[in-house]
Amino acid sequence: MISLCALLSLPAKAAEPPSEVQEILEQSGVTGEDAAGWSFSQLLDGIGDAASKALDKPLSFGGQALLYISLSCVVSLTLGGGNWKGCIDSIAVLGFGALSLSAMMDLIQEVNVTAQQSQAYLYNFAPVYSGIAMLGGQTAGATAYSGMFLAMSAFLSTAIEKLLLPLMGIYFCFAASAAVWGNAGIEDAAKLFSKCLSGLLKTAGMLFSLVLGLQNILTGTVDNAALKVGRNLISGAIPVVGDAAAAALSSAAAAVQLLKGSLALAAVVVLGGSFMPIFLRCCLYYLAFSVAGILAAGSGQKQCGQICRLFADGARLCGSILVLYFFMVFLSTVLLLITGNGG
Amino acid sequence: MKFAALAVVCCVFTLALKKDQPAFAFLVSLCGAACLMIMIAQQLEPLVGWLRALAQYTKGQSVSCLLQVLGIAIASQFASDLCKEGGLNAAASAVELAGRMLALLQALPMLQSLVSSFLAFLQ
Repeated sequence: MISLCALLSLPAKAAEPPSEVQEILEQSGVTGEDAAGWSFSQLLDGIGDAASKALDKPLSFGGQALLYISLSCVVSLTLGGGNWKGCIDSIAVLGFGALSLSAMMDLIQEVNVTAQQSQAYLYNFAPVYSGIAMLGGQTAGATAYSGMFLAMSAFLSTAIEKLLLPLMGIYFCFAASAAVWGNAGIEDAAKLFSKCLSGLLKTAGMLFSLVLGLQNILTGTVDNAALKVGRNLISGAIPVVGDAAAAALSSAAAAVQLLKGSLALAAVVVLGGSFMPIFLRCCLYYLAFSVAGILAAGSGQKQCGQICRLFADGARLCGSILVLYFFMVFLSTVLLLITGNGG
Repeated sequence: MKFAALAVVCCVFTLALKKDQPAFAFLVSLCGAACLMIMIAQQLEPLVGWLRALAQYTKGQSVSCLLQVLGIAIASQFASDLCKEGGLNAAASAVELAGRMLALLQALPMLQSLVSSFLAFLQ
């Protein structure tokens, strides 16, 4: 009997993926066989190359900033105090302002591109993920994920593109003007703006966390109740094998949960891979401006020090905007991964 | 030691000639100061070359502009002090003013870069 089944078995045709999937896999330029042949040292080299490409800009900017401030300090010391100090300080702050402002404008563009690309990824990922969650019995959670969470992330992405990042651009231009003119009032206004924006981001983060947490609790309760009712109905309605059928339903749902968990983990890794380089750039810019600010303050260049303080705050705010967006995405997806419910 | 010795010798000659030949005293002072500046420039030539090489790795012209402003400031200060030593205070003020104007003109590309960043954002 067994040998007859083995002889007459139907072909599964699972040796190769479908042509559409094969096209997507071939876009990366790396085949499965190539990846299987990678050694650990090759992987480390690849990660190192990617990290150096991602962090090249802030590191070179940090070197340029330190060189420029050191040179302007040397020039000031060479000429001594007196008539030339004001002129040299003005020229130094013009040069440092131009250097810093172009770097920060590039950073704003990169933050915007990262947020938009992540949102485009979510538009494709969320419906698939919701569909799998529904197959696993989490109807309410999947509906909330594909409805409310996607709407919230789209709203935040649009707010980042249309409101927050233009505000950051205005802030950087304002800060550069404040330092060039040396007006204390404009510096205080720039600091107040930074505090207000920071408070707004914290409030938005708390609100999103509250909404996502409440939604998670409510949809989890509904889905658990629905699953229990379904099991009880099956075990009560079907005679003899009702309990076995109810257990089979739970097993099927658990299997789909495993697939859902893998999808969620893959999405978290992909989004984390796109988020980490730009976040590290924001941190490195913050560090570069902080160190340059200490050097400027120590060498008596007040205006350059002012630019460094204000721009360090600006780099921190750009990082905070990214953290808010990805915090919301990670929180919702990880809740769905861990608890089986999300949105 | 060489700089100090040259400066002291010039000073002695200047003081010796000042009473009877003030014009020659001024010339001795001028030549001594010029020799000192040339000797300093020769000593600093490798450092300036290194800074120019570093400036090529930086974005924009900020570092080279700062070096040019330093040169303009030193030349202007030198000429101004010589004029003051010769009793020409008006010429000294004019030279200082000219030096500051030239230094600010050197900073014009940086101002243009700043303004173009503002305009790029506004557009």
